[in-house]
Amino acid sequence: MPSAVIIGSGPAGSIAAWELAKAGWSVTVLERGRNLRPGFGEVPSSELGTLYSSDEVKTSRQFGFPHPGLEPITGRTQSEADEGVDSSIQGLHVSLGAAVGGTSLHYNAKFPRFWKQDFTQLTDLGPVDGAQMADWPISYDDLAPYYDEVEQTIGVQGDVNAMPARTLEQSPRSGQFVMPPNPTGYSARLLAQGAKNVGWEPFPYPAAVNSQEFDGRPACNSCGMCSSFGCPINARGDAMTSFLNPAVLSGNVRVIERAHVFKISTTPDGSRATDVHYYDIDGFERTISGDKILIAGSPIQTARLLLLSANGAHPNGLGNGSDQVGRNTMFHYFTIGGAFFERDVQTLRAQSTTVQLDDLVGPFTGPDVQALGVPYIKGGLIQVGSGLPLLQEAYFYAGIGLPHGAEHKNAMRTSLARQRLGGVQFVGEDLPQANNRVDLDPNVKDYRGLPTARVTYAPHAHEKASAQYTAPQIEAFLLATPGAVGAVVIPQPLITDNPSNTAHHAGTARFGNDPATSVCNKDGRLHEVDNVHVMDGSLFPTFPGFNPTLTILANSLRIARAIAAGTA
Amino acid sequence: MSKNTGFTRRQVLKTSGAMAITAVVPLLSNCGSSSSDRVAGGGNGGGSMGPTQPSTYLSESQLDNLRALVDRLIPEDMDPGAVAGCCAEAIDHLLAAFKTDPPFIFAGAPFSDRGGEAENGFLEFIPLDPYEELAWRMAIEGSQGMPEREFNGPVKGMQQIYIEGLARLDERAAEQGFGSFSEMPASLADVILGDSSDAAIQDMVDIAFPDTLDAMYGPPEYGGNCALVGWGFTAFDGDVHPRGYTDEQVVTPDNPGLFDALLPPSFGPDRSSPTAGSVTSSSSSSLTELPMLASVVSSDTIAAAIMDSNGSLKRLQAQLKPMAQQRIATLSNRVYKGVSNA
Repeated sequence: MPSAVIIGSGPAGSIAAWELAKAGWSVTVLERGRNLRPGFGEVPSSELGTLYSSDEVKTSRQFGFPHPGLEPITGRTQSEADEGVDSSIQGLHVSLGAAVGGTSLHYNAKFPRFWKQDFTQLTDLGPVDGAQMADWPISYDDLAPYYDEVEQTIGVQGDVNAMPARTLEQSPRSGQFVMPPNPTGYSARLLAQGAKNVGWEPFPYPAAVNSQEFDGRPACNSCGMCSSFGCPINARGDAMTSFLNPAVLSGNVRVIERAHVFKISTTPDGSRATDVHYYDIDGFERTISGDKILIAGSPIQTARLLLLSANGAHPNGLGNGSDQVGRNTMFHYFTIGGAFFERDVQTLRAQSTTVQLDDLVGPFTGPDVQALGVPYIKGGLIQVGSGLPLLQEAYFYAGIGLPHGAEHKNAMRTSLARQRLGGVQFVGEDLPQANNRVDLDPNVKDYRGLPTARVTYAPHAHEKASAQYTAPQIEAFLLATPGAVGAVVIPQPLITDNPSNTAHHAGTARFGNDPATSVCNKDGRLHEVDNVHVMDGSLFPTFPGFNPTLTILANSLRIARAIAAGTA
Repeated sequence: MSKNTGFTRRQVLKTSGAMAITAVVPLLSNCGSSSSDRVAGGGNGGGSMGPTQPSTYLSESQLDNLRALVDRLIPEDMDPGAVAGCCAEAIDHLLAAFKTDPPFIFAGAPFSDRGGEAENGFLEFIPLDPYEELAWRMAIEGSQGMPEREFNGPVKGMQQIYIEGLARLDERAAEQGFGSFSEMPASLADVILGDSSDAAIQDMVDIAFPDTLDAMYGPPEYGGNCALVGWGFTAFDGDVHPRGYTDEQVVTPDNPGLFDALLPPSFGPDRSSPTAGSVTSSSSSSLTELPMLASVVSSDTIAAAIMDSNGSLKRLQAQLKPMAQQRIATLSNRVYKGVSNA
């Protein structure tokens, strides 16, 4: 029986385990977080319990995340790096979740597909100064059947008949969604009309959230507390419910929680990985081996592990002869904003974000773009109609500097940010840069004494131009919303050089056809190590402005199937 | 060949000999007692042990001072404040978290009894695993010279920060002739709390304000939000599971707006909603006093900022304050034109 060790149990790792288990492989998944779903591995997904709830204090106490005291990530901007600053940020910073099932336990489950044009960006649009543009080594058509399969398996809501023609032209579908959309939140309906008023085309956001019973799990009841919350009623499809739990139930997969992987060792010539080294929950060092080693730690931790695995044959990190490991780190940038209303528009009373806009995806060219100093602008989608729960509103006021005392109390009573602001988030494409990178921090360690990941980042001129170009259009749409009395638009790249607080991460181990400029081949295999594959968003050579989880799942499934078939 | 001992029978049976797992070097001591890998699955939710009873850490006089402090952070006015919300008591329970079993850190799940469930599952707190216990002992107790807690240097714990801060409040009160901080009138208390040169007090306020927010606006099972006062004046529904909202509650507002008849219908099948139409309308409404406060609604990003702040107001503001510089576009006497749903 062939065997695999998978590092990370998030979407990429879980679906790979699921696929290999079906093919009869013996799989061990190593996960640095703990299990938060009682019954995991023992009962069907429809019967899984959860330790999550609509409890905001759990969010402020980082439930389901690595603790910033034990596993900090450090950060600095490119200009700080130029000045010799080792790091200026230390803590949770851009960490993703750490639990069995990964960040998908508490994600929003928005499931757009990437577009055809995203796979041929360098060929179509040409190079960009200061950016390492690249085509993908695969096409949309290569991924399309896997998109279909993932959507069918996890259960995605949407309505193909309501999608704009250009969206369907760029991301053609073989058929209708698994289930119809959930009811559209009232504030999203207001904003959708605003979008129509400026000639845009709102449509229901594809989401891996049940609008009706699916796979034995109930329909969403529109509680609104989605992002950063696990679903208390099991209405959201995720890596665990749809892939990892069924995989474990198949009998071919086991998951070891709190397994802190710190090294992959190789044969002396470096051509083949031999062992995965990790610390167990008690701090004991253990090793495990398999025919294939699949890395699915998410872009920052995947790069960190490759760098930690440097040895005589791989002096700069495992598979890093190209010096591209850790580079091209990408985070979607966000322009966040909203339309103000004089009354409560009940933003929290709906599934988080029920409406999508594709009108600012681009690419945009022409004199107005050229005047901003870039050859083109690629934007991204707009998430329409989300809201803040109460404690997040309170933290928000405190965070922007509103004093405690009467000012705080009045702000909470008036509730401008929660009750009277219909929110939108523009998800902006971030171009790959050599100097936006993950490396090992020279000073800061984690609780096992290992160097922590350090993220050096600054937005490219493209992102600044993109934010400048799109923000007025977003503002116009917000002001055109029925009943809106004002609007605010906050384009993040124009405010700070630090990355967004986002769970949208990519790059760091890009795949491509040329070993001199990429880390992995089209099947995620390290160019320099025969039996190690990267499975997660680290592979993305570019990062179009769409929520990435569906594409991560589809691509990992594609690779896992090739591995099982012996062709990868 | 596996040397692990913690596998379920199913997992052991299904794991072939193709894997080689070897425990070789004990590296760090840890607070747990298990000696094998933990294979995920099964009863991590704790048993049916009943409600977790909170404990206390502060003395009565320290708690009095903490009540006086939270009273200045969220004061009573026409609506109840943090004292009525039992915020000092909730903070005290957190400082005493490890006096209870399970520790008083994460409330249970998945439902309270406020959304239609018969029993309140929030009351039974979640057992911590060794990782979480190490993390929260470091946060609450500090590193106390223990090597396993000082891999990045000494860590000052919440208990010490509060004890030193509360003592300092009394010192400052004594300088002005008062027996304790809790005896000071609000105006003088505010002066002390606003003294940016007093490190002990500022260090405490830095964590006390976020802690008070958690207590005031979080679920009452943590000991705060007494009588749901934090959800009352804010008109917050709180946790609504398992009942949730009906389609009609989602699609239509409790208080209809002027433009509702113009709006596109809900997506999806046959939902209850107004019908769409082609209408031209106008609005005479305007906000005469729009607070000049740049606000955003993005649960994704705000939640991440909160988690990254790790309980520190300064760190929270380092992330969010730049947003307050953004301008707000306002409409005054605006005319709403040309709506077409075609």
